[in-house]
Amino acid sequence: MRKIFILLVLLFTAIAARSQELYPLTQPASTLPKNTLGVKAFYEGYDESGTMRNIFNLRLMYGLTSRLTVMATGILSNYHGKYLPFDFILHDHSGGGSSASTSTPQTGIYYPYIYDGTNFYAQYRFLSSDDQNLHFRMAAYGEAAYINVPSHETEPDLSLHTSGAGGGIRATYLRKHLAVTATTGFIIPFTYNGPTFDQYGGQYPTTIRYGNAVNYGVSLGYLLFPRHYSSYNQTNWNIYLELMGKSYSAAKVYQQDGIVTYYLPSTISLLKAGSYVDAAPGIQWIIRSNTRIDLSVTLPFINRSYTHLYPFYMLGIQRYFYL
Amino acid sequence: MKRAGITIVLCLICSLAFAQVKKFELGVNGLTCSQCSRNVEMSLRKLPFIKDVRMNLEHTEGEIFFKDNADIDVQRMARAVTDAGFSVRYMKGTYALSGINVSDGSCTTVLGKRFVFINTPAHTLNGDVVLQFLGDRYMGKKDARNWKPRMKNSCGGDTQPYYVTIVK
Repeated sequence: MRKIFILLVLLFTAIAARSQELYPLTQPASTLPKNTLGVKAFYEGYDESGTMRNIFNLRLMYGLTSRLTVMATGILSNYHGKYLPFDFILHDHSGGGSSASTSTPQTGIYYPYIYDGTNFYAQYRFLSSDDQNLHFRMAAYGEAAYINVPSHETEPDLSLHTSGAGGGIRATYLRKHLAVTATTGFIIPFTYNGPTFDQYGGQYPTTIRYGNAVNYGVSLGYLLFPRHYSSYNQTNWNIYLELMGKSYSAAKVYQQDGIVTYYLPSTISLLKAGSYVDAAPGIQWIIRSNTRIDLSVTLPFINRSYTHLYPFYMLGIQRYFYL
Repeated sequence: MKRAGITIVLCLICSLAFAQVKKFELGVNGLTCSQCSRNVEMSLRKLPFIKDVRMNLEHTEGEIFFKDNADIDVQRMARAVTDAGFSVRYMKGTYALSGINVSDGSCTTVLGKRFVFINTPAHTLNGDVVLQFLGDRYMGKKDARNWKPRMKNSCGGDTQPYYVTIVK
């Protein structure tokens, strides 16, 4: 598998063609045109032990200035329950005492659709160096998310799982034969405080301090068709490869039982520190130089993320409105 | 009597001077996709004096046509390109001119705008003339650096004049 991806990367960089930076999953360092509204609706999902986890997102983007873009994304899914899974923290009341420990919750549990929360994002392009069919750009971004459902994984994710804030920088180098965007940033999740219910019906105030994270990624894009531009009506076929990774620290879980607060060691993989890199090949059609359809599949490349299973699909449609 | 005669002749020449913008051509840097090209076109089309924009996607160039008797603002056109997220590689205007006297470094009023002609021998402009606009806003950075030492005459006004050179 790894060899295939390395081969793909080499292929992308070797083939002589126009490059594309309109990545399905990652933002380029470029920003929206001033006074332009972008609307993107996208679906993400994966099969979790026979249950499809479906995540529906609606994103509004606006070019406040030629250098500053702001976005808001609303998220609706059947991914989370209103509370932490009942089997996430197990209690043992045998032998006259009681103890608690974390455990990996059962997968494939049914959850109704719920509005998970909203992600806010802003990006400022602070460097531009343009030439004919070439540009190098750098941008700084910041984001914040309010997610009103609990996550039982330490990996912070401001697009679905955890409230918090983050930021970073991106650089996009685009030349006829090569388009590369490199991103690095950080995520500081907010602490979760809420009740958990155990298998006996007991209710316990629980605190989870999710791990801080550093995220990084490299995205490549390549225009398949048309070979030569002659009209806005030509449908563009673009293919992409995005490598996206994250390193995060372990979670700290506390649970209150009566007047005593217990620290529960992070013994399960979901709560341990980790790092991974996902690879997401994707294809994109741009119709009439405006309506954009994205399709990508995220696969594990180095280690894996515990926030979802693989393959992780994304299907999106996006359009600009020039105000 | 002789002075009065000269004044009358000069006034006649003034009244015969004529200028009209036929079209503009521009090259855009940083463009690589048809959607980006469309962004530039849509940004230009927002300007009230523009009638039509025809982009050449392959060569990242465009032609701009204007409404009749419109007050054309070259600076706003350049800003429209940067508002779309790109930069101007070149900007050339085709003017129909008649009886416009120019010389190197001289200040000349064309359609109510102050122009400084650079690298231009003294002569009278008649017929279709292509003027290339000079400076950071209207050309690539390297070219702008080359022209900058010659862009000195501010024509004594509060606002900067347009620096141009005759291409054709």
